[in-house]
Amino acid sequence: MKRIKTVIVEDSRLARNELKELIKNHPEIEMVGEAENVDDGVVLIEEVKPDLLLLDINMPEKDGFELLEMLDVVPITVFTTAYDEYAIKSFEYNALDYLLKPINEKRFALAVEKVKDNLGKSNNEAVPSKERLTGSSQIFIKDGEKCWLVKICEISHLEIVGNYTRVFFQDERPMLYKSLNQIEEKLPENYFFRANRQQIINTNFIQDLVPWFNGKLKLTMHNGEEVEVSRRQSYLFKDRMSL
Amino acid sequence: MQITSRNRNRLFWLLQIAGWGMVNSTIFIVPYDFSTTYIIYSFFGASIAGILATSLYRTVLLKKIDSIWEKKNIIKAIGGFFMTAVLYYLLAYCSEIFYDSIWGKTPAEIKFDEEEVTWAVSIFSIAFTILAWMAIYFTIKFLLKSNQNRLESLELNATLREAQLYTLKGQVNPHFMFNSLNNIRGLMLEDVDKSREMITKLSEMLQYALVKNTVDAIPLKEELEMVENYIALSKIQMEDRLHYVEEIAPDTLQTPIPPMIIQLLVENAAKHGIANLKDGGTISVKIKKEDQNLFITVTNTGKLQIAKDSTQLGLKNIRQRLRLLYGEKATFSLEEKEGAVIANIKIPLS
Repeated sequence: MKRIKTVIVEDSRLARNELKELIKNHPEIEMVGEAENVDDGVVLIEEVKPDLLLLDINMPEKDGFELLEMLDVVPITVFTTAYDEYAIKSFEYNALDYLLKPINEKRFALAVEKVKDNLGKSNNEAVPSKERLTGSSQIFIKDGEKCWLVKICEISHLEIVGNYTRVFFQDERPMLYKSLNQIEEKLPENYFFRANRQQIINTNFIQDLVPWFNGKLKLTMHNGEEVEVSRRQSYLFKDRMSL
Repeated sequence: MQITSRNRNRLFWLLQIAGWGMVNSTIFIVPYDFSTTYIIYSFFGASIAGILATSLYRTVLLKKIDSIWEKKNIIKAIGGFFMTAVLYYLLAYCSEIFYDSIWGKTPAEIKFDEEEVTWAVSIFSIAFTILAWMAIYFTIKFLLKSNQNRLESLELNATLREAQLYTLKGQVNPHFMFNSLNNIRGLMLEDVDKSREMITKLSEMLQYALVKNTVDAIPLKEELEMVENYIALSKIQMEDRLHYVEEIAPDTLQTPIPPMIIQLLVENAAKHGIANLKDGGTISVKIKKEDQNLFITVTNTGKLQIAKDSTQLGLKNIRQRLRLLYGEKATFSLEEKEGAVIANIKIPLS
């Protein structure tokens, strides 16, 4: 099996050593780099594109959540933190994976197993091109107190709200603080389609499709939401779907 | 419940009116043949004279006296007593003359004045009345005062307990403790002796937090040991990012200080100051004696910013404890100056 490329971002040198010591028992993990603060971490992650990120929360100047917000693509992430009521509440609330320091070796092994499962699922994916995300790429969205690590293929559609974008997936609809055009450039073309000026849809989430007046199309999404495809885009859409 | 000065004033006036009214109501039962007008007039006249004289006494003098056991205060109270007695006598005397000039006294009333109210009787009864008044006044005053003291010491205890809880829950805060344990675990891979030393320091901190902060005061030296332990443990987390400087005047080491105050300031300096700086900074603790005051200064590199999730419990606790222990004589300030956050505490030594 392919080794898991792993990056540690953690401000304490001894804590990094401690993590590396734990990793020694797992030959499938390949350490590809470490950083002691968020800015260095972002540069490192964008350069080496790791599969797994072991991330501390409390770091000088910027914290772990801010690191994720700075990334376009987020690797599978396991938070490591010493007991911190606030952070733990946030992990639990947002269903994020975390390990409490000092880290129990069994728990660490379990976390590694889970990472392997996740990576196994996405292994048959097409290799991501340099500019675009793939369906299994994760993005990090933080909207107020809540945050999510969302797989691209789980997003049903996206919508312009002012200068930002609302992201629809499962029952959630948080705001992402980027423009729709900015996001469109990164989305994989095989899943996503620009239905009109306001919306981008995931074609896998289309439930129903009916011709509308003026050569337009009307789509009904899995969640019941209706999306009108503009005339120009309708031609493209029919072409693409070979209708 | 705290007795406010408004309630205290109300109580005073209520007792004044009721007391003087009661004393002077004897006029209604004396077996003399007085006219009704005279009876009612002297009841009110004497009561008002008494209330005026003693209230003036209280306002001018007694309110300012906290303890009667000081010689200076005893002299003041006795002097005030004579003046009040004279004032009371004059007011009562004037009121009699005033009555006589308006309504005219009956022969029985004049006879009573001349035969029964001799100088000796007047002096004795006035002195007795004012003395009795003083006795009642001081008794009530000190009962209220002792109640107040009891409340204050209760409040102090509660605050101290809060600090103690805070120390266990928030201060040798779990995050710091587990981080330290994790760092020590990492340190064991490279330096066993130092790891052992760090475990000892961590235990000492826990011990100190558990045992020492139930007391009101500890020698400065002990508090500084705790601070040094904290710094040593923070240094294995932050390493070169944390510098620590101490400037302690040797004659301050045995000075008793309230526990956990310098410790809280240093923790704040580390947690909100140095830990947020990528390149780190310096924490310095300076302590000196000057003009019967102890000056404690804790400085750290960084900006004064109150974190949005911070409850400022630590700072509140310091302020409250200083106020309860030293009143207005202790001061605490926190300011930012030239890229450093400076906490200043002044504690009176006497």
